[in-house]
Amino acid sequence: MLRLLLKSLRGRPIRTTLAIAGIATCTLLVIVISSVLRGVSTSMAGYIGQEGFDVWVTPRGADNLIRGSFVSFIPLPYLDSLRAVPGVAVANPVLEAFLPVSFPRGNDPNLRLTLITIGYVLPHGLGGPPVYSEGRPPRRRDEVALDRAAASRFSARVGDTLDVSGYPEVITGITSGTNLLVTQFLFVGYEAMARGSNAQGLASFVILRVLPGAEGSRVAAAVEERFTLFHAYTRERFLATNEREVSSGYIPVLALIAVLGAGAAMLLVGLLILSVIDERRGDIAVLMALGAGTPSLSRGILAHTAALSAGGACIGIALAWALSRILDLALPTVPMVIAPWEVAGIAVLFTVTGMGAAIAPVLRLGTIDPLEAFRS
Amino acid sequence: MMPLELENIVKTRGSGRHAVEVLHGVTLAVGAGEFVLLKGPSGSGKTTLLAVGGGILTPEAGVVHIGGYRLHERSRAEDRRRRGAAVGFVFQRSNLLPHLTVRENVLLMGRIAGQSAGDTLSQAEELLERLGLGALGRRYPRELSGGEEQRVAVARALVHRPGVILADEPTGNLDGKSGQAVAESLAALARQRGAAVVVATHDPRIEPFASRTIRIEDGKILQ
Repeated sequence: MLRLLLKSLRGRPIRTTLAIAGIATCTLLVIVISSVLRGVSTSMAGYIGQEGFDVWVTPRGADNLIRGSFVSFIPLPYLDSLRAVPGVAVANPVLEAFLPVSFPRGNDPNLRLTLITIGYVLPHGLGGPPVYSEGRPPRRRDEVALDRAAASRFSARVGDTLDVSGYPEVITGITSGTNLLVTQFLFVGYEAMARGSNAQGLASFVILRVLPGAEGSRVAAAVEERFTLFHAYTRERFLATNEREVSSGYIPVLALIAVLGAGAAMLLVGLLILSVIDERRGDIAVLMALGAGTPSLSRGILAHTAALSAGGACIGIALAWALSRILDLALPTVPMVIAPWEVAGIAVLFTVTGMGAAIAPVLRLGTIDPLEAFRS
Repeated sequence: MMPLELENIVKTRGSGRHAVEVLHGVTLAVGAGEFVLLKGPSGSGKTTLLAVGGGILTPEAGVVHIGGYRLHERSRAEDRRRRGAAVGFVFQRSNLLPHLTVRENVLLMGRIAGQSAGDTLSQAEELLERLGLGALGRRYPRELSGGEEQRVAVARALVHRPGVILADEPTGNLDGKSGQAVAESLAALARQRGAAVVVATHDPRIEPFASRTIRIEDGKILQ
């Protein structure tokens, strides 16, 4: 019976299509925002969570990558003392700063990007990029590895020469998973970085690799015990503080957009169903006269709204997936990582809010008089 | 007990100063297999009487029994279930649902009446065949003539084997030949199934099928 009721309550095709398209667009909007945030988090995790980055030693107050570039530094003479801490296998300095970068011979010579620039010990010291999508790691002080999204914005390729804070640097590798949306990573040699930022003999962080069998948390505790001026974070803790920094700016905006998107979808569904009820008032009166009760008609309306909302949400998800593939190929500056559980949550949110939109139409049923069926 | 019994029905339409008593103590009983014509001028209360008899309207006073069940004593849901199963309606317009095919329109009534899917399907097929609509089951109402539409409405009214059939001007919108065919079909099928039929009409083509004619004027039954 529900199937027949559902079919009998069907609205006009163009209006229904437009409503579904509206819901799909709202779903797409929320998924895009959410997956862009996830893309930023994934990039952050991809860099910080690399194998061998077991403990991050930071100056006090610099508990994430963003703060690390502003607060204070660790003098390099401490490196030997850090290496002497039990359980430490390797201790490498990392110098980090936001540097202006341009590509004078590129399509847009005036384009200047401020990139989060990481100076690490070349060629294989701790602090380098997680993945190369093209090329090789820098080996000399005038070589750099550039994030793929930044390379796309510059239209730069391996072999091109960038201007990094006034110094010419040759791109030897293009990295991926290093796009934070508002900025991207640039990897340079420690020496070049120290020269470019006038921070010779200093490190923003020291990354420790622990010996096989040693625990990062114990090493971190030992570092904090010996060096009262520094903090030491295990990889997991450092990642968490970085994600908190990223999400504190994005989450409220995301939540607001999600609420607005769901609200817009709810209005669309509500309007469509209300118009269906008004348009099909005569048919509903006939159904009532024939003996169909308000509960079964309400179930029909709920099923109709659920079908519309779920249909729109599914189309939105499919569009989001397609968009993420297209962006990855054509516009890598917008990192989108679609998490299945998050998408499922958004689909449920839109379906449930869509069904909430059925309340007004269901109430409208009470105004329909079955005697209308007798009127010629 | 007869399939349809109404005792001293009083029904008012409107409210407050605009309230008008439409039925004044109407009593009517229709037996199984009876075909009763309800005649009277416009506004005499014919349609209101059908709506009260079919359980759509609740009277201010009086008792309605459909198939031995007394309406308005129990819950509205129970009343709706009982009247859905016991009453078939034919309206002046066919009132077929435009997004459903002919077969689906008929099947939906069976499902509303609580009939099993299998039973409804076999009944629908049989009725459509007997009404000469067997080949039109997959068509939509817009693809039918007025006479065909109204014959589908007759099939819809009968598919759940109701004990009472209430028809309001069922041939009012049809030309001579189509009206005759619908009246014949309704009378023949109702008689065969032993249903009590009440038809409100001005159409003289239906009179030959009537076993009894009742006149109603100003909300009162005259004979």
